[in-house]
Amino acid sequence: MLDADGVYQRADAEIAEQPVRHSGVSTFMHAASQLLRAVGESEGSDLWRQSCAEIRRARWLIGTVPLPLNSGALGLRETAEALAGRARVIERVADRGLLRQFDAVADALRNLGRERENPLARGVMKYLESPGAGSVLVVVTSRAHQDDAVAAFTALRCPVDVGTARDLAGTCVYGAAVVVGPVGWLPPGVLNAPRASRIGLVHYDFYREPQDVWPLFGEGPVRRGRMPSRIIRRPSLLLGGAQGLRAGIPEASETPELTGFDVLSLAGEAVAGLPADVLEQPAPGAHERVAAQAAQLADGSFVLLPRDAGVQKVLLVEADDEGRPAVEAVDAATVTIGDAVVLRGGSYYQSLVERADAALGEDALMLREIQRAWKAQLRDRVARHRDGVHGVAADLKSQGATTANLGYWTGPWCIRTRLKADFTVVMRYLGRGDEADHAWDALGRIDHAHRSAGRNYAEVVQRAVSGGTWETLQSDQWCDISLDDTEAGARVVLIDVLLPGQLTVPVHYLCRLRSPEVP
Amino acid sequence: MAEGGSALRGAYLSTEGGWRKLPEWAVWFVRAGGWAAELSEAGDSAVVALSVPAREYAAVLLALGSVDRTSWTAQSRAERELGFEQAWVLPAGTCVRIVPADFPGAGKRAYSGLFLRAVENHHGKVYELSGRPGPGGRPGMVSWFPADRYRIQTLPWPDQPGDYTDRNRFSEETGAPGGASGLLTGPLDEYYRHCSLDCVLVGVVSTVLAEAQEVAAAPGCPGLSLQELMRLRGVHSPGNHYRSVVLSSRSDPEEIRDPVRSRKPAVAVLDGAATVRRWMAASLAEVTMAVVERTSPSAVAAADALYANRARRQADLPMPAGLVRALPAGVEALAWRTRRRQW
Repeated sequence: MLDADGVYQRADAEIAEQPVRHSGVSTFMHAASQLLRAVGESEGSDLWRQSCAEIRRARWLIGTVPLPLNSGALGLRETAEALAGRARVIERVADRGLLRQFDAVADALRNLGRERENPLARGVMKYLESPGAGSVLVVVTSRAHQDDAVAAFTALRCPVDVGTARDLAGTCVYGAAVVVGPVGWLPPGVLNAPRASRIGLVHYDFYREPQDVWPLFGEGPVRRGRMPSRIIRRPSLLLGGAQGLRAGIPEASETPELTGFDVLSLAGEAVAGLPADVLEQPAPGAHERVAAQAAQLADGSFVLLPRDAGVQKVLLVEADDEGRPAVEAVDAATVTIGDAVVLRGGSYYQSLVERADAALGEDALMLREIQRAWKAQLRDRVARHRDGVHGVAADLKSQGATTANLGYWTGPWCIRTRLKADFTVVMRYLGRGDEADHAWDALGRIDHAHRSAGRNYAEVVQRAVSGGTWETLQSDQWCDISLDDTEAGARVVLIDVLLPGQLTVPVHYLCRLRSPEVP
Repeated sequence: MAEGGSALRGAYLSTEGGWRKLPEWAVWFVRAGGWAAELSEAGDSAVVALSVPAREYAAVLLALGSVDRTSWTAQSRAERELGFEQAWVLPAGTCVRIVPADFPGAGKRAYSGLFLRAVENHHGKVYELSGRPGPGGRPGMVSWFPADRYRIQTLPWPDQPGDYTDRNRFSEETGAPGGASGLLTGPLDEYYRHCSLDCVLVGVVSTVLAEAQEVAAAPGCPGLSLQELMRLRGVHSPGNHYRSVVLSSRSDPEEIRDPVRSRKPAVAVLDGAATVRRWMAASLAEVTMAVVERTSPSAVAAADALYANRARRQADLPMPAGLVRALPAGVEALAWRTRRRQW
């Protein structure tokens, strides 16, 4: 309980904002924003897609990672060369105005790549100049660059701990915590439930200024204990000499600042590894899409989790009453920061279907056809009915169905209805009443195969997760386990951060381990 | 009882560095739990929403406070004790608890198991509990208790016959553990005699039970874990005296709602933003306390669920002045009266 007491002691922290301005970074950021806005919808076209993705990634890295600008981990020079090369390739085809802006962006990036300055780290040190006791934590957006950041701060003779926002969500407390990067992506609770006596927000000054700290209960006669409410704004730290500006680029002060939309899209860049077609408009008849949220994992990779309950299950590793790791299948929408989940690179659902089919043997094709057919017919009836889903549901209820969960029944992962009586009603409604019994038994075989495959998987994982795994999890936040039924193993990893912004993706992208592609 | 009479008042906490005074915020949560129990006793239906900087211990302390306060009027809530004539018609296989009549006596034990029958034999009037079946399915050893020295109580949900079959009857010591008198404020004999469901806690079972292992002590008295004070149990943990139950937030609210409501708990405590979001609509008790930690990614969704409930309120509920004065830093509190459900 004393750990929790430490949190309550710091409940009324002082929060200050330290903006940083570097002329070269400002030039690049504004040029990049202008280009991306000008390209607009053509960003999805083959001509611009790759370049824009690389520009967005560079923008994200510069804005959030406190490393020297010429550092190899950021790779700004390589990106600038790649962009320049691509400009020559598309010279004949692309619009002149866009090409000019594109060249400006590549130039600005190349200049940046030569800089030895580390603006964000200097901002952190400026913030830490104000007196205060206790340990210091610098919070970065991703663990991928954690080691490099520690080295960079040590080189500047400012030894600090480097962590992620998840370190500010537990009961560990610090003397000071400095958050690097745009404030818009900050997970909830960092500001209104502080874990340090003072919190600094260090970011480039062209990001939208943070609002004051909001409490959770906004309306009504709320009684509040002492909590942070204001953010002290300090003057900007000015860095970098005047860079030569290409003709045609307006002064940094005239260009509009980045909007909130840009900040959210920066968070979306963190899952830049998704193939482009996922983000396009869904074609009719394509895989069903669901609302999803991206989560960053403790080993630097990502996973997409569904927002709504009932879509998919994922395996969770938790300590049971005796402190041993226990594996449980839980609804993927209920997992949250700090949970350890078991993920594989491939789709869990797809591998479940494959293993169930393997168990069903030769009958698999015939049984799957029965599964597909009744649902396709039902979908058809919904499409043709005058009142759509509600009309069909009303019809079924009037013919004796106790439930009419059409959304689930016509979805891809439903095998059969829960009650046999309802299924008979549906089959009669589709004009196939005499087949109802046979189909019910056939679908029951699929259901049984799915459950066994699912149970087996959980058992296999449970066998693989042992006491040693648990210790590794506590210290490293992730570890690989080998499963005895496949060659590829699985990874148990903690969820670090849930990224803001809503995505809509096909179901089979959910709950798979995704690594960002390294250019 | 005077205002301010709450459990754990002036208590000390056992830590690695020795005994430390219980933090002020912990005492506040216990008092807030007591207030919720008072509301329930007065017949109010209410929701108390609390937003906290850290989820840890808040729900356990709220539950302890409410269980303690409920025990002041425990008599009406306790399960009826059956006399011999009533036990005669009790169906075999009911879960029951057998308590010594001259409770509490030193060295006395209470027993729980499956009722077999009430019969008059050469020992006199006795109650019989069935035991584990022997090898080959032969009926197991039967325990019998003289009816003039023991009383019998039925155990409804969360005790289920399935948890008792194939096991011998459970036994445990009776009586208040040493040190409880300095930490609880209700009549202790009554409290530790009867099993009742005064408070339902919904959260992550392993975490809640771990938090309940904190040891507290009144000055000069032996230390006791919070679990010993609030007698918390999980659903499938038969055989012990209990006053409160912890449910897994991952279970299905639809399935578990009716059994819980049938026991009419005074207070339901929802531990954590994800739990609040999932269970707010379940209405497990007349008074619900919702604990939302602001660091949870579900915090805003939980706040939305709470405000949606508040939109249907009858009236806002002011908190007692003493609680408002002592509100800990970082805690927000909002309470409102809801419409009474038809039970």
